[in-house]
Amino acid sequence: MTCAEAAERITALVDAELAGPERAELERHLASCGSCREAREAEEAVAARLRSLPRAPLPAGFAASVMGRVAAAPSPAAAPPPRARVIPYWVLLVGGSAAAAAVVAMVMVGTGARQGILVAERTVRAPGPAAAPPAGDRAALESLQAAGGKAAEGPATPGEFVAAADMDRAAAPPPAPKPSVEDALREEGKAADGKSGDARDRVDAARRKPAAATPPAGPPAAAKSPAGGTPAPPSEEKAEDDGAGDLGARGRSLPGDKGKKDGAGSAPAPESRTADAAAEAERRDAPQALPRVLLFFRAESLPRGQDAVDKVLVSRPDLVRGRESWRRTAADAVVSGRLKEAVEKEVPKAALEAALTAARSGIPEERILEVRVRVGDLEALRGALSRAPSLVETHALVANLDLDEATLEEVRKRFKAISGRGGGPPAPGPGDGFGAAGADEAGGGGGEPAPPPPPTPEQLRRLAEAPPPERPSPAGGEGGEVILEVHLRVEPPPETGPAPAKPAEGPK
Amino acid sequence: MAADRRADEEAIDRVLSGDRDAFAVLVDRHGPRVHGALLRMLGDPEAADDLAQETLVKAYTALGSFRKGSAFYTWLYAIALNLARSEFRRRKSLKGRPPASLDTSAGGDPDDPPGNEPAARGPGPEDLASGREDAVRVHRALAALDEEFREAVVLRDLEGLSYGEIALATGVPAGTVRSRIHRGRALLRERLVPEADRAGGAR
Repeated sequence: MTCAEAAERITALVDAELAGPERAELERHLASCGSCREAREAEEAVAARLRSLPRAPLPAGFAASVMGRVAAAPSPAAAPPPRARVIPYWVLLVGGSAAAAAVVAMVMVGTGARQGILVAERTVRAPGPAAAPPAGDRAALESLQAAGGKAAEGPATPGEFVAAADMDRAAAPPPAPKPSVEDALREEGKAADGKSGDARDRVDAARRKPAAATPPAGPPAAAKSPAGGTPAPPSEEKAEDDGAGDLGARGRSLPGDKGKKDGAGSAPAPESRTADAAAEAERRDAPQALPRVLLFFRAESLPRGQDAVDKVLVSRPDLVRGRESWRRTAADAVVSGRLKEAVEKEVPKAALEAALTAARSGIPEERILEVRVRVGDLEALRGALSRAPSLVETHALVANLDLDEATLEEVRKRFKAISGRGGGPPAPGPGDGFGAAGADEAGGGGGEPAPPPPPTPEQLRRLAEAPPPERPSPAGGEGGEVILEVHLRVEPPPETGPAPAKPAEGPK
Repeated sequence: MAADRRADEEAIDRVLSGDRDAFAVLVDRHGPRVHGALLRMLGDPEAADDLAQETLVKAYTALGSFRKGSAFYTWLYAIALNLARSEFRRRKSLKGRPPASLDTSAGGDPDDPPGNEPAARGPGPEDLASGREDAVRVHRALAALDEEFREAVVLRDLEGLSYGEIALATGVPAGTVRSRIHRGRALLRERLVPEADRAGGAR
């Protein structure tokens, strides 16, 4: 052991946080190294001085004052069961790979100690080759875009609201003021808790299904074996679930969902205007008889969402721990190598593009720090991503999050480059839907990022109407479902801007 | 320890079942910790008082989301630290520079005109340290640390948390906790050892 290696271990030794062989090794080193012994003594001395600091007494009346405020505070018993989840921002897109492609986008701002908060939900049906109801879709896509923007700007009041705004509603006669997040919040704020749960369940279900079709946990090593029928290591999913809190926890409680989904091959019930997440879930699931792709976009922090996110994280230490697990994506790295091959055949490029574009719409480019892509059911995924090699690249980068801080920093830099933060203002250009990831490829060395502008409605429409995949059916597998997740990490707003309203934090 | 936790959980159960007053047990048991940690973090008794109250009230309203099995105080620290961070951010954006820290109230720091610092409104490090010279010095050195190091050191050496608990409270991996403590102490040592050079109290 070198002295450099010993340094931090000495700290751990002083704190009695070192055990086993590591400790024995350090002891051996200390026995033979005077300077490290000195370092240890010095550290012990500092720690002792700190420990000897007297603790200041509580101010008089402290407890009484707290209890006074507690008396005026909402009762915790009224809170829903702990379902907190860190989903500051999600856009979920579902693309069917066969005849009727559907794109469902969901924007969630998860805040608060107890709820994952669904701020806005949009369902976008991308016209497939057979069914093509473009007008509504176009409006819906536009609306999605608007919603995205709103979500990015909207007030994320922690712990208070859950709202779902149905895309169909927006898609109808475009409401004068498009249903904004705020509107949605106002409309649905109160009754939201249950919906929140439902919405989560839906997400759970969406994510679980493929997982369910996957044979139980294979060792990550299995994924290394070339192609073939090796399922994605479920551990990956698991880790994400941890990270996302209870995301998957209740998926299994919706056994009926799958049947519903598998059974109904018919078109979605477009007349459904409900913002009820459960109904929405059914509707979404119903038409998805086909292999589909779920794309989850997550921005870890949003303007104004940051505080809220922090709150969730700190008020739920278990989530904090889960958050670490997001980085444990060694499996991702393995997966990423096969991503190209795996995704190509499954995911219609148009759906992918539309998904990406929609997910990023409304999120100011300069705020996107990271794009993370995850793949769920590799088995069913087989093929699709090679249509979007840039995703693979991004994915691989994300996998690097597993590595040390320096690497992490590099990754961050690159992601900044991806999103255009590294260089000037977003260059206007024809967004291809893969702008973020695409720029990643180009900007390998932190080069000139070429971030696309937020997609225009026209682009969205074009994407939505892009040709369907050549392959009408999945390579095989029962469910034929795959999950891709794209996580966008978004930077909090610059301090120079209009100060984001501080999330309600009580009197202060 | 297990008994402590049981006592906490009992109180929590009672609160959750509607007995508001049972929360007083938790306030009594943990208020001092929360307050102490915030005081060390912020170096500002008034703000520490405020945020400690805020922490407990938040804990109360969010009690339903507390998960048993983890230590209640870790949860409280997490809430408190988050509030402290927000406070730091707020101050930073208000003043466009780092927030006041303990050593600024010692007077004589040209960067900190009197009257502009929270510390100027209340007791300074001398009070915190009960007038002990060494304690004042340590407090100053502590206050000069970057927030992340201070968090780790405060939780470890002043609050006595384990690395695992600190990881939970701060939201960083245990390995990072270790290196922050290491670094934090090293910086403290640097600042504390050449005391002769620091007689003037200025940097």
